Amino acid sequence: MPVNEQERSVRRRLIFAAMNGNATPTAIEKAIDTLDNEFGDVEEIRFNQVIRRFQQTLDATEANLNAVLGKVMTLRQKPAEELGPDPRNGVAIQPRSPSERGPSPGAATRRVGLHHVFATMVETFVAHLRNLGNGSDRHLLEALLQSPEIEKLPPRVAKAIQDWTQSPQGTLEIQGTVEDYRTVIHAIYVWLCQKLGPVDADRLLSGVVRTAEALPEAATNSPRQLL
Amino acid sequence: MTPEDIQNNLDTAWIVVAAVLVFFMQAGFAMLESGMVRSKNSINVIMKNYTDMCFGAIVFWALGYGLMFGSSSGYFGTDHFMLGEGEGSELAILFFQMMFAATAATIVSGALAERIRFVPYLFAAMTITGVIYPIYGSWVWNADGWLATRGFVDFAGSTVVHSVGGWCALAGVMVLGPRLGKYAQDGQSREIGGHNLPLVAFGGLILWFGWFGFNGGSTLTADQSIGKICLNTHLAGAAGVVGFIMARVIFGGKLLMTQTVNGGLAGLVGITAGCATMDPAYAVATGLAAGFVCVIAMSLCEPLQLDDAVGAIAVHGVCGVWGTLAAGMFYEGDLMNMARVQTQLLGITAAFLWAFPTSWVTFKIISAIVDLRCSSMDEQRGLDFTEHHEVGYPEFQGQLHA
Repeated sequence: MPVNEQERSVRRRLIFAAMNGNATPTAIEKAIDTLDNEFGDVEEIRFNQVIRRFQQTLDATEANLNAVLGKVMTLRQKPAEELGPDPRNGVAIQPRSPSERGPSPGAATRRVGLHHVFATMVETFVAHLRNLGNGSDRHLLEALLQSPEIEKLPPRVAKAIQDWTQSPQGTLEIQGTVEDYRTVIHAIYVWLCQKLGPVDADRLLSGVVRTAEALPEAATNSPRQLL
Repeated sequence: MTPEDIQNNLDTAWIVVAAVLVFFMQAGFAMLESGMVRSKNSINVIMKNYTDMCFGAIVFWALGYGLMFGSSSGYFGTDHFMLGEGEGSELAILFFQMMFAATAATIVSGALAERIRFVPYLFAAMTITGVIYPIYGSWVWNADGWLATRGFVDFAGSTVVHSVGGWCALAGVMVLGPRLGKYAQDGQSREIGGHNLPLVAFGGLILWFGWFGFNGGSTLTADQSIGKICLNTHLAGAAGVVGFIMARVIFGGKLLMTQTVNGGLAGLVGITAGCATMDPAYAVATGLAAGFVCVIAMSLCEPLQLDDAVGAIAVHGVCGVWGTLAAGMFYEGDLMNMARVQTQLLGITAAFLWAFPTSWVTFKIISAIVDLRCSSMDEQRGLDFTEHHEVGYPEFQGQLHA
């Protein structure tokens, strides 16, 4: 029986979250492709088999697969909504080390520092709403497009947000201040409270913060300063 | 020492002990209310409970006691402000009444939890303890009060303390509006669960414990009537829980522990007016009915979009009304005397017509001067951090950055 898209997305997010920071962007892309192509229709997936397959297809210098396997085992205990964004949705991939940073053909756009933390948070919100499957991700983007709070941001930042909401499959590229990022996160939170209720909004916000805190960037750019 | 001296000493000792029990109710309110809110607002609730009692004590001593018990033409007292001299028994009564005043304000704090700013709340609490509560109290408990002279029965304050507190809470809820996202666009109410339900239960039990001082101490004398008063108090509280559960079973609905605690409190509020003037069987009836009244009143608040975080309007406001009515209906040896019931209705109406508009105006004036309601950003962050810069559970909530 084919595995549904929601389950496939959860697997991709799990592998992505485990590999991000432990593998090069190219290796992550290869791994996600392998996961989709070779394990996409496997109903009962065994992640140690998946990682063994990665060992056969990836160069040892491209990924620390022992660390990836350990992280997979930890992450699979978490609820699906805390796994972070789906890499198929244009999420930026974090290079393994600073030396690897730089243009890489085929890799998604790279973001650094607080901007990356912020963008991951926003994308995780959207990814979670997309997984609900009721079109609420689109509604959120529409709400952001019309939000008076977003309109009050500096024109450059507001335009970047509005451009992204119209084509969210692209990466979110905004160079704003902490205050700008806070405004966007807050606008999303208010919308979530109205749409899902305050309890679910709090829970989702906490999950998003935990996801962002798993990023290497979060060590020096805490996502909590955006709350 | 004469027998009269011994009796006076016993009376004073009993009043002080009862006052201490009522003081301990503040701990019950703090635990119950903080357990019923989200963890990010728990410290704010505790702070409000802690400080409204302190500010309220000073304001009541300076102003409230004189308005309530000073020489009166029927509407408010004009002396006994900042009382420093007098017999020990009078100072004990001031001490006892000070705790009652704090209770009236604390009822309000729970209803407005999770969105009212701290300092503006203190101004509202001081107005309640210093003016709104004592003036109504003078009508009932000052020997020259216009309701007292008409035979209005409210032994320990179903109306004077609880309904007045409930109506002030109603005004505050209306001025403040609901918490962010509490009601969906289609008007559907969303449950915002508390973060520590065992704390709610423990707080409810402490309130119950303190209630023996609240009702028993209102005799202001150490005599044998205390036995009946405490028995009635306990029976009505127990019957409130039974009535609440029966109502839930009959009308349908979940048997939530938090609301069961409210059922017990409803019974206790209900019996407060008539605990000294009712047979125990009628105390059971009063408590049982209070459980039903509580369920109905809570269900009415939702369609009206009255976001009362702890159910204070239903438990204290509406059940206070029922209890005061029951005190007239079930008066010992004079059951269903309609003249008495009419007097009770007059007092109940007067409480609403006094407490609701004055507190509404108070909240409106405060909100015209400063922000009474916190911003939506503060609601997101939680009032623990935004108002007090500390969080109740740092291991879980982490440290936010300003």
